[in-house]
Amino acid sequence: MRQIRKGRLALLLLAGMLGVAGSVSALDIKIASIAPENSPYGVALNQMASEWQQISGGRVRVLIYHNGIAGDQSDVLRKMRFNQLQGGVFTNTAIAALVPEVLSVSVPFLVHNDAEFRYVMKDMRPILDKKLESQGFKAIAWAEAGWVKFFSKDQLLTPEQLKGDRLAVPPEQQDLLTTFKILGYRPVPLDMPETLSALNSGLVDVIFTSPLIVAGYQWFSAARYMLDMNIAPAIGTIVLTSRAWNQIPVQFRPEFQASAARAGQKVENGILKLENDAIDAMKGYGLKITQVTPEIRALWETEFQHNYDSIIGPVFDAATVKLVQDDLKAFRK
Amino acid sequence: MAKTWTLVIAIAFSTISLGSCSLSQLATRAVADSLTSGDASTFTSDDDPQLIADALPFALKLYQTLLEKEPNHRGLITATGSGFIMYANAFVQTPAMMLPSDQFSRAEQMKVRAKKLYLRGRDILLNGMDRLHPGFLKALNDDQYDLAFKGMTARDVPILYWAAAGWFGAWSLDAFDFGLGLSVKRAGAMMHKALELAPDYGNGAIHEFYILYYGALPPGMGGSEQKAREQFKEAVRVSQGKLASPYVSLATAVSIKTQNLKEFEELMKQALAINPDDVPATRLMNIISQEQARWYMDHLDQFFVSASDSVESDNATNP
Repeated sequence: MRQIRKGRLALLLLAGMLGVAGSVSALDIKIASIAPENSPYGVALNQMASEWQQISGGRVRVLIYHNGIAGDQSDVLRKMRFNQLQGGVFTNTAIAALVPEVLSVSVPFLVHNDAEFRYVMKDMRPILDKKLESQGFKAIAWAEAGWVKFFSKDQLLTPEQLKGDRLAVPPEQQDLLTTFKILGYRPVPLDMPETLSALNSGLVDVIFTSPLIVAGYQWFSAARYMLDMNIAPAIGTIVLTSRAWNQIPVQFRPEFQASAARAGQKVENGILKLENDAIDAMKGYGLKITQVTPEIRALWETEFQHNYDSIIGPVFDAATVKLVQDDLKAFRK
Repeated sequence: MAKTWTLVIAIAFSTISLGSCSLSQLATRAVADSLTSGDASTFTSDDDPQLIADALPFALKLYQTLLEKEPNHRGLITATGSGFIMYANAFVQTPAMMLPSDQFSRAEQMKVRAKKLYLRGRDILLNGMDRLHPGFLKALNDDQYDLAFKGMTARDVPILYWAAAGWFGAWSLDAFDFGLGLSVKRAGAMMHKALELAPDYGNGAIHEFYILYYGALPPGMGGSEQKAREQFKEAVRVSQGKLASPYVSLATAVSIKTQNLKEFEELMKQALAINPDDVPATRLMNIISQEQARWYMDHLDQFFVSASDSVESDNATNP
C-alpha cells in the first residue's frame, strides 16, 4: 500500500513537474523605436528580435513597436518606468535624461570623425552603462547614428554669419539651446513637425541636424544649403529595463548581448553610406553643398573651443568631457 | 490597394487565350482587345485567392510579351502595369508581413522582391502613359505637372492611379531609399490628378489610397488623422459599405498609430461582418481583405502596446 502511495506521489510529482514545464510561457519583451520599420534601424531591430527568439528556442519573444507608435522617446522612457514597455531605442539627446554624461561626446567640434568617435566610446561606454544600471536600465547596444550638420536657407559659411541667423533647435535639447545662447547665437526652440513651415515662414533660417533627417522629411526644399562640416556625432542606443534583462534566463544573456551589438554594428557600418546616399539624392533635387576649407573649419573650431569654459560645466559634464578630451589627445598623437 | 481585380483577372485570361494565337501585330491587337475589354466577373467573383496568386506570374509575363508587340495599347499598358503592382501588394508584400519573426530573412527577401515588382509595374505604366501622351514623362520629371497632365481625361485615371500606387508602395518598403523618397512627390501629383478627374474611380480606390497616405505620413509631411478619416467616409460611401478594405485601411493606418485598440477592433469586426457573397464582383477582394483582418486580430499584441501584459506588472514604477 505504501509502495502504491509512493508511486502515486511520484506520479503526482511528475505530473506536477510536467504541468509546470508545460505552463512555462514565453517572456515577452516590448521594445519601441521611433524609426520606420522599413529602414536600416527597423530591419536591424527585427533581425535582433528574430535572433533572440531563435537563441532562446522561443522562450523569449521580442515585440518591436516601430514608427513611433508607442510615442516619442520621452513617452517610451515613461512607459518603460511603468513596465508597459521593457525597452526602447534612444538618441543621445533622449537618453541624456537618464545619463547626461552622454552629451559629452556631442560637444560641438570636440570629436571630429568616425575613428575618433569609436576610440572615445570605448572608454565612455562602461561609464554610461554603469550610470544607466544604477538607475535600473541596461544598455544592450550603442552605435553612432550619423553626424549633424548645418542646413540653411541662404548660404552659410562662417560663425559670424550664423550669429545673424535664427537657428532651430529641438526644445528638448536644452544643452544645445543653452550652448548657442551662451555663445551669442539666436537659437529658436522648434518642434520637429513645425520645421518645414518655420523655414518657409522665416521663423528660422538654419537647422542643425543629420542629413538623414533632412532628406527623410524633405526639409531641404526650404533649406537648400548644406555646410559640409561635421559638427557633432549623433548616438543611438538600445536600452532595456534591468528588470526585463534580469528576467531573461542567464544562459541566453551573452548571446542576446552579442546579437544586440551586431544590430548596433550593422546600423553603424551602414550609416556613412546612408548619409552619402541622402546627400547625393538631395543634390539631385537642388541641394547646394558649401565646401569647407581648413581655414573655415578652424574658424568654427576656434569659435567653439575658445568658449568651452563657458559651456563645459554649466552645460556639459566637466569630468566626462575631460575624459573625452584626454582620449582625443592620445588618439591624435 | 488590391482594387480593380477585373484587371488582374483579365491577365489570367491571357493564359487561356494565347495558346492558339500567333503573335502577329493584328492577332496581338485582337487578343489584347479581347483581354482588356471583356467582362471578368467570373474571375473577380472567385473565392480562391491562391488560385489567382498561382496563375498571375505566368500571365504577367505573357502580358509583357504582348505589350512589346503592342506598346500603345492602353488596355495592355494598364493591365500589365497594374497587374505587377497588385501582385506585389497582395501576394508578396502582405504574405511577407504575415511571416513569423523567426522567418525574418525570408520576409526581408520578399520585401525586396515586392519593391522591385512595384517599380516594374510603375515603370510600365509611366512609359505607357508617355506613349499615349508624348512628353508626359519629361514634364513629370521636370515637375511641370500642368504640362504633364495636359489633355488627360477620366480615361487616363487607371494609369495615373496605379502608377502612383506602385510608386508609393515601393517607397513604403524602403523608407531610406532617398532617391525614391524625394521623387515620390510626382506620384502624389499623379494621384491628385486622378482624384480630380474621377474621384470615385475603382469603387473608391483613390479615397482608400488617401486613408493610407494621410494616416501614415507624419504631420510635417502632410499627414493628417482628420483627413484620413474624411477619406475613409468617402471610401465607405462610394463602396456603399460593401468593401472590407476601407475598414482595414483606417484600422491599420490610423488606429494603430493612435494606439486606439477599441476602434481597431471595431473596424476589423465591421470588415469581417461583410458577406463576400453579397457582391460577387468583389468577392475575391473582400476575401483577401478579411484574411488580413483576421491576421491582425490574431496578432494584436504586435501592434498595440497595451494588448497584452508582458513581464509582470507588480512594482511597476521600479524598472
